[in-house]
Formats: sequence, structure tokens, C-alpha cells
Amino acid sequence: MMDRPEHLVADVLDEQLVDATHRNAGRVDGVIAVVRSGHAPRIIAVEVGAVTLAARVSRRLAAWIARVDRRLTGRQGPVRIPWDALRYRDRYLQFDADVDATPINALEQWLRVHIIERGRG
Amino acid sequence: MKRVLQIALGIVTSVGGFLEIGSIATAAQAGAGFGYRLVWSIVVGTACIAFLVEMSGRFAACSGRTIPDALRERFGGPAFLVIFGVMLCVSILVLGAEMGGVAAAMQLATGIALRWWVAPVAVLAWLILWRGTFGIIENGVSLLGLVTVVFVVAALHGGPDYGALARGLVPRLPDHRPAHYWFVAVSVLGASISPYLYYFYSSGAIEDKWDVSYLGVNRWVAGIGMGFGGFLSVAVLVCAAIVLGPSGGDVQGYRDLSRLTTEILGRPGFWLFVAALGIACLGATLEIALSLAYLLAQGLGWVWGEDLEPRRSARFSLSYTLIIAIGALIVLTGADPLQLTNISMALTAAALPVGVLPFLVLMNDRAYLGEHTNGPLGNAVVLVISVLAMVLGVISIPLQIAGS
Repeated sequence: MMDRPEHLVADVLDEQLVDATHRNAGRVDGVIAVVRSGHAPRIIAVEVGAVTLAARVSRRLAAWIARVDRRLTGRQGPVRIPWDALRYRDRYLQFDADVDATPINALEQWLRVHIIERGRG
Repeated sequence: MKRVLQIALGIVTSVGGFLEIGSIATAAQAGAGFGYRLVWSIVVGTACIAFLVEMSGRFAACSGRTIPDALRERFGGPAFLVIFGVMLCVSILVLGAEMGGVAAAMQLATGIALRWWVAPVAVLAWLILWRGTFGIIENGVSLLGLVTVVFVVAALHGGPDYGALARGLVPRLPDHRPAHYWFVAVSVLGASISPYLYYFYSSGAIEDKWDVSYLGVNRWVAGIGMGFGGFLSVAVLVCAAIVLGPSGGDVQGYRDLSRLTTEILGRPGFWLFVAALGIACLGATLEIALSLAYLLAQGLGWVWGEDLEPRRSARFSLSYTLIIAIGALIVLTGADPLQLTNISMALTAAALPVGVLPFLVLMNDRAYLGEHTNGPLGNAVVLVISVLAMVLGVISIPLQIAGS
């Protein structure tokens, strides 16, 4: 992704994510690495979503949020963005897609459709 | 010329937006119970909030970031959730108190019981946020809030004891009811240093696209605006010392608060008080609901902005909607609004370090502020006052509850 040395926790975890149009698209709530015996750990993706953030505090809280999230949005788990799809833009991490075309904004879209637009008739 | 106008508007809106139910009720109780002896607590609280507001504007202008954004990035998700949780619990109680204040103003004006006004007040606040822009909330409501100057007029007409007022600037031990004295002092501090004020100010600086060229404007607005705001609080205390002090009584309800201006200015004083209470508390309701929604949206990285259409920032817009609904429910539980105000202000003071100390760390981080990091004076003032407020709060809240 980047050619400068990074401290994963300090510089990537909890960073603001933006989409191709520079719209806020959540934060890096988790970092996924593949660990294989005899090989160096390899970062493959970042995770975005309240479930991942909650899991850093309490597994039980994360399970509860996951149930609510599944019921509202149909999402089966946290959203993963491949590590190679990320790049630094200004001071944010950017991925090359429209956030509305990803499951990251599933709750935002559900609220827009089921609450705000239904409320407007 | 443009900068002068910005400074003038900023100062006027800061003054108009300073008073709310917390500062009115706590200053009135200070004056009623202890005369001029607690003036120092308003001065100390005002100094602290002036420093904090200046810092939050400087932070936004120099870093281009809001405070919650940087808190999450610097301290991580779990720490952010703790800060948000504490802020939410305390601020939602303050929100309930402010909504109760608007409803109480309507009760005073119409004679219809406060509880019937809670739902209309909630709908009005929500409609302003849903349909309005940041400029309307920042400038419109705050300009209307200038009606709170009525307290200064009443204080001057009432003929204050200037010698006692000057002596009140120096902190002294109480000569009676020590537990209540310290509880009121802490409540005054909590009312003056409400964290929502500087979170709102910082988000406003980002909404208004401030950069380093605004540092001068920021310094003037924070210093003079908050200074005059504190002057209004002192005026409330003076009115209470003149009107309620001689009877040595406590402030039992909103009717007692309305006496502050009515007994000095007559019938016009009553109606100006009703307007001041209603507008000041409505302004604070809007600012608290927005501040909590900002905190959540910025910390979790959502799309946010009061100037965006609600459908383009659904989670942000529905957050303040839900927050207003919870605030209304708190009032509808039947909790005594003035007791709610007292407790929420004291809890705000006790919880100050949770929000303030991480913010001070940010304000000393060159990665965000470059050459504009805090000096030792700002650090010392805010650190000492917020820790002092917490210690006094932790000691005095249980004593007050036990005493009452």
C-alpha cells in the first residue's frame, strides 16, 4: 500500500477512511493479518464496522451489535477492505470505490430508505 | 474590516449563547444562599472555559480536525468509547435540564403545566436542527440570546453592594452550610465549563472552514465573548443576592428564578426573564444535541455536517433526533428540573478531567498543532481547575445528597 515505514497501531488503526470521492467511510476498526508457521505475518486487509470496534472492548457487546446489524442490514460480518486497495491521501486512508457501493454504508442506507425517506412520504 | 465584523459577530454570539439553565440556576443559588461570596467560582469557571474555547478553536484552525476525530486517532477506539460514554451520560442529563428550562419558560408564560410543553419543545428543537443550517443555530439563536442582558440591567438597577462583590472575587471558606456551599461552587464550575461548549465551538470552526488566519479572531472571540458571558452569570448572582439573599432562602423553583428580574424591573422584567430563559435554554438544547451527534459521528468516521441534508448524513441526523427524544423522556420522568440541573452540573464538574485531560494532551502534540501548541499558562489553568472541580465534585456530591 505505502512505501514509508508504518507503526500499524499508531498510524493505521483508528484512522479515518475516505472513499474515491473523499467522503467519510468509517474508520479502520481492525487490521487483519495472516500468520503462517515459518512465514512472516502478512497484513491482508483492514476491517470497518461497529462490530469490530466493539470486539476491542467486549466480545459480548460485539455479539449483540452483530445481531442488530444483521437484522437491519443483512450484513453477515464486518466489512473488509484489501490492504492493497488502500493509499494515503492527505492525512486519510483512501480506497478507490464509492462508499455507497460497498457494504460499509449499509446502515446509513437502511436508515435513509426506511426512516428518512419513508418519513418524507 | 471583514475580520472586525467576524470578531464582533463571534463575540456577540458567544455572549448571547453563554447563559443557559445551568449557569442561571447555579448562579442564582449561589447568590440566594451565600450572597456575593461565590463570585470567585464564576470567575474561575469562566477563565477555564475561555482557555478551553480558545484551545478548541486553535486546534481546529491549525490541524483542520475536530477534537473527536483526533481523540479517536490519538487514543484509539476503546479510549474514545469511554470518553464518549462519560460525555453522553453527563450531557444527556444537562440536555434534559435545558429542555426542562424551555418548558418552564412556557409554563411561566402560559400557566400550562411544564410537562405539556416537553413534547412541543422537543419537536421545535428537532425541527430547527433538521431544517436549519449551522449558521442559523450559531448566529440566529445566539443573537436572540442577547435578551439575557436583562440580568445586567436588573443587577445595575438593584443597587449591588460593590464592596461585597469585590470581596467575593477572593475564595473564602463558608460561614454556614459548608457542604451546600461547596456543592453550589462545584455546580457553578460545571455550568461554566460544560464540555459541549468547546466541542460545539471546535466543530463550528470546521463547519466554517477556519485555518490559521483565524487564530486572531479565535483569541478575541474566546477571551472577550466568554468574559462577557461570565459577566452575565455574575449579574444573575447579583440579582439573586439582592432579591433572594435577604430572606436567606434557597431557590425552590422557576418561579423563584423569575423573581430575579421581576422584583427589580416589574412586569417587563418578568417577560424579559421568560424570554431569556426560553431562548437561552433552547440555544443550549440545540448545541448539546448537535455536540453529542458531532462527537459520535466524528469519532466513528461517519459523514456529518449540520449544513448537509439529513438524507445525506442519515446516521448523524438520526443521532441528534434520538438524543433529543431521550432528553425529553428524562424531563417526562417527572424529575424536578432544578434538582436535575444541580446534579447534572455537579456531575459535569466531577467528570471534567475525562474529557479535558486527553484534550490537553492533543493541545501539546506538535503533530497536530505544529508551532501553535499550548503554552504553560493555558496548560496550568485548565489542568488545575478541571482537577480541582473533579475533587470538589467527588467530595461534595455525596455530602449534598446525604444532606438533602
